[in-house]
Amino acid sequence: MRRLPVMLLLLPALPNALGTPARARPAAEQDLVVIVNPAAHVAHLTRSQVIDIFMGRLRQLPTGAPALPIDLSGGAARAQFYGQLVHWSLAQVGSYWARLVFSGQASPPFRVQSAHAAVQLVADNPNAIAYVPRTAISPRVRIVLDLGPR
Amino acid sequence: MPGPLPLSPSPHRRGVPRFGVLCALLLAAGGGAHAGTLDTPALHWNAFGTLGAVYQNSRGLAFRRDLGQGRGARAGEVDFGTDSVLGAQLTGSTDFGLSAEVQGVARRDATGRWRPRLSRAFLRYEPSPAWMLRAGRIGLSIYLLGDALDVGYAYLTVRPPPEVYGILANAYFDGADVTYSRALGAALIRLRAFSGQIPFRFATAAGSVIDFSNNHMFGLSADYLNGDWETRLAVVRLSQRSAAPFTGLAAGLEATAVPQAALLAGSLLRTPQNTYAVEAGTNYTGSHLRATAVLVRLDSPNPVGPNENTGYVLLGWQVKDVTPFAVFSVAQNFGQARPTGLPPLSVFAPLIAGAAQAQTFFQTTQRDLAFGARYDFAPHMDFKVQLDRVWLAHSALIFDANVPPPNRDSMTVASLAVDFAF
Repeated sequence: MRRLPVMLLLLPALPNALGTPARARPAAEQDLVVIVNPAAHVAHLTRSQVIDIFMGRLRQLPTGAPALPIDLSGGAARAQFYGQLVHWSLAQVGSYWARLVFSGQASPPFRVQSAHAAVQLVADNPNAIAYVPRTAISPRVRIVLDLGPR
Repeated sequence: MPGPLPLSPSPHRRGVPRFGVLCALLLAAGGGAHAGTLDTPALHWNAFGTLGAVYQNSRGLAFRRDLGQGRGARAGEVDFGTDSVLGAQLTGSTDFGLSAEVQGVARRDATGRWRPRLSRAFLRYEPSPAWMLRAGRIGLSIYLLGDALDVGYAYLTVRPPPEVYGILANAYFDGADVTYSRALGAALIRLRAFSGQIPFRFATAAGSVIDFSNNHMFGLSADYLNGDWETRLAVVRLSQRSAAPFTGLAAGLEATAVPQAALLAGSLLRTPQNTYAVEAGTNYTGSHLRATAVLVRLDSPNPVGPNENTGYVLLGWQVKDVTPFAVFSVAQNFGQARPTGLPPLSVFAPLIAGAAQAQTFFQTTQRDLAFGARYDFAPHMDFKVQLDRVWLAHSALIFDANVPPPNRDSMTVASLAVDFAF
């Protein structure tokens, strides 16, 4: 108990896990798209389906196959994505995941450092789903939802 | 080529070198944390905590957040034990849908001490995205938003409204649950069945600890999730299988040979004693507005109860990183204490007092109007301030075992808290 205040002061230095900084704000608008592997045989996803997958409600593609969402670590794209998808700030997203993680109901999406890495993972995995700027996609992935600029 | 992605979170979720005794034990058991990689099972850490301070100035009353706390915030003192909590969690997952989770929490317990306990320890199997089975020590999912009561970072207020959640001395049970999720148009339906034993240990106003752990619980819940809305209906039956906490009192009442006393004794000893809980709640989380409404009815035919209607309404409005909120919560007891029929003689005084105490143990009739704000000032951290005005007719929650009951029916509680989760 006596160490608790000291530990609390040190916590801001800890790596990000449940959300990016509460104050993170998109620096510039990007044209975001949600992508899957062409082998997933999914032509289109609705916004609510993407919400279910990325918010840990039901991680399932319309084909019935498991969906493995990929999140971007920090940056403007992540804040923009959740802002457009559920209209939440990253602090709200972090609070939401705290409840799900510590009640043992779900784990946050797998996190990668860059849009390039996300595209690569989707291209290599038929269950993966990610959001990236339109400028980052490759012919090896398929756009299933166009979020556009905010 | 990388293998299939594991159902694991961020590779950033690395361990915290030292985080108290809990984490040290978990580290020893798990050997540290590993980043989730694309083709290996993941083992990762999470932690959460709250440093909370509570102050109130109503002499003869002490403020508790639930019946599992052996002491509360007394008048004139700044109490750090009511809301402070520290928790750590270790999760291991495999690529074939099986995962395990262990969580330890240190907070003030029924004896009034601040010590660790095992709050989660279960295996989880997800044979498909729609189905989830868990077995072991699992979080209670009876109340909407009540499945992470120890995690202050997960909710808006300093603490969940005690009028509603205060009955939950623990927010976990030992048993199993099964969850089925299905899309329904743009919405999602989630059905859950759960069964097991709740290791309840309650602290009484007299300063003793009553163990109600010999019970069996069965419940069903249905969630409806649509956009920013989340709604839950839940029904639970809790069967108390032992009358051990009341055998002494019942024997004394029976020995008097007074018919009413013997009748009361028989009611106290009858097993199983069933309590039924029905909960309905809805929550809205928008870009600015946060709104929650929860109603719970606890109904028990046995003399001890609980028999209460409880509920709360919460409204919050987020402006950048600050969310001011207001919450009104109420608990209304509807149980009637049964008379012992004993004459008011000194020889019977302990029995009369004991019967009265047993029958008011769960009784709470109080209202709470609170205003406050949450400020998300750093990654994974928030600061909260809250001011509660509490009116009470009788409260099993708010007492001071060391001071005679006061002639006061209201109190003001000021609270500060810093929460974190990562």
